[in-house]
Amino acid sequence: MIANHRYLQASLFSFCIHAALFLYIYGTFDSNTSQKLLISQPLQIELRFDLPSPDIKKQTPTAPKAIAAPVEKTSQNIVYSKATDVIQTKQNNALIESSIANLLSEESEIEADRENQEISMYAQKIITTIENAWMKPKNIPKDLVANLRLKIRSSGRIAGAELIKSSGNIRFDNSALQAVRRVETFSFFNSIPKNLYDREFQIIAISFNPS
Amino acid sequence: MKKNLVLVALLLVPVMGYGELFLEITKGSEDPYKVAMIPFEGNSKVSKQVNNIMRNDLIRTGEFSILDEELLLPVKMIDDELVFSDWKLLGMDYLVTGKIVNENNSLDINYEIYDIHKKRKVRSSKVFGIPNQIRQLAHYTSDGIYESITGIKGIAATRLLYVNEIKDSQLISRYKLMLADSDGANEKILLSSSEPIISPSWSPDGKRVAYVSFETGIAKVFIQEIASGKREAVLSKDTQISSPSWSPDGKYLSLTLYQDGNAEIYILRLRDRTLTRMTNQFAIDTESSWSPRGNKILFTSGRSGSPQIYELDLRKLNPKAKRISFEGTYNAKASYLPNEEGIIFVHRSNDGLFHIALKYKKENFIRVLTEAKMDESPSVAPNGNMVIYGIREENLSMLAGFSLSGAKFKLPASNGEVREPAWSNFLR
Repeated sequence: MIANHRYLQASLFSFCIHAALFLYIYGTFDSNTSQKLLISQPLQIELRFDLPSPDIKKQTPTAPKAIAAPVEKTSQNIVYSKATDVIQTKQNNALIESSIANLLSEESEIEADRENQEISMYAQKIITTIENAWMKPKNIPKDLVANLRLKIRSSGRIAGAELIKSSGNIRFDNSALQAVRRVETFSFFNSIPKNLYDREFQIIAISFNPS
Repeated sequence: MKKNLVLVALLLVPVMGYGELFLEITKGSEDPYKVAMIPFEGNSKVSKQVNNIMRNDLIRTGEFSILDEELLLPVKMIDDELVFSDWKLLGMDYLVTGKIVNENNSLDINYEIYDIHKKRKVRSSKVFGIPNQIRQLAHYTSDGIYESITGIKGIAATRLLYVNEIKDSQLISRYKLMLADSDGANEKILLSSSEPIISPSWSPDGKRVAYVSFETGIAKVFIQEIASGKREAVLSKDTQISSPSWSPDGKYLSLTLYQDGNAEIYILRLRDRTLTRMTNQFAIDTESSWSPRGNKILFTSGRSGSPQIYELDLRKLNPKAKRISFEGTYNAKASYLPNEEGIIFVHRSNDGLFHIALKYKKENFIRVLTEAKMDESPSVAPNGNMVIYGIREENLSMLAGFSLSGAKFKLPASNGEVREPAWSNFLR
């Protein structure tokens, strides 16, 4: 019984300390800010993802700035996308998780859209370049398909071309390989953002399918 | 642990094809490559000859459109760099320049190929030999240009066999077995006889030929060494033997023997002259030819009532002949394309005329490729891109050819009749 009594004391003490801490953090003792618990001023938020890229930095400030415009005092919040979105504020500890989440999801949607657009734009450029270089042989069987896998350096230089599916026709396979050889380098590769190149354009598969 | 995970992920990527962008190319140009050929520098007579040979070689392939010599521009170089803009304006894809050096009893041809779009030299090469090999060297150069631009091995430096028949004033025929360059030039007589010679066939190494000669009164197959002229009959049997065809490994000849009362296909092992009978049919079986890998033979048989093409699979113990031609009432003298994806043969169309046709294995129709009246005995070039065959013009037999890429040509006429061409393998 004695032991239990001590435990009760300890837990009461612990509870008091935690309660005090909680109230302090919540702002009960802060006479200045205690009345302003709601978000009374817009926040400028900078989103920093784990893999920072120049493009994202460029884009993000624009949207929140519009909201922030009428207010003099703006605070910069840094949001990490990983794990538990940690929010740091300099002026207050306002709970703005919901709005951050909205912004985040909106932002990532826009980002994904933009990225897909970019990918398809570069893909189209690759297709056009190869089509311009491809001399299709005559008198070949119908419905031939040859697939190649290209390894491309970030400079756009084709480092390797491998026939992964032969059409069965030497001249057709050869014309596909020769088209790639004629291209040699995709001149526009230096404009592809590094992360996009790493993810999508290092190795691509192309299918020569005239039917 | 984390490292292991990364490793596993890396291993999975290629298997699943995850993240691999897949693009589809649906359009391509069917135009020939546009090439400007600057006459090679050097002794003007030699240079002119070389230029003509190369120009003809390249045009015959059907893959190139060569700029007229009158339209050529001077080649401008600034700091050893070609000025590409002029050629781009002319719409050229490639520019070929070269130099012929003929000194100290040796002849060198140095040539360069420039890619006008890439704005750089794509090949710089040299062929060399002795002055009397000038045609050969020009053909080597053509093949170098062809390979460099199309990626396919060229056949300008291969050779042809054919039979030449000349009638004298008393209308008595003289038959000659001829050897010539792929353009019909540089003819040499391998055999001359007062009796007919037919069905010449190359050994795969290009050093020997087999043919049928009637010199003993009946059809007999002979093998002859090209260099020494040494020849012998393959079988001493007192029976008609015809249409020899060499297996790709050079160890066997397929033949037609008449010893059973009618024509049957046999395979002869050259080492010990063992004969193996391959067909057993009351109808005529003849004109055998080997698949490029040597595991099948094609032949013509009348067993269905009309000449049709059949295939035998030699890997099977008792192979059954499989009919593979079905269109029309006459299909004969078939040979495989180099990768066995189809056959080239003689086909009689509905108009009753004989044409050279192509049938791909995976297509259920044939493609008629020639339009004369009596096209016969096609022989396929080793790169599969060209076919040479016999035609009749004004009652005279001569040789013509076409490339699958669309070019058509006639070989310069020798005296008299020319027929039964056979295209050699690659000789280099």
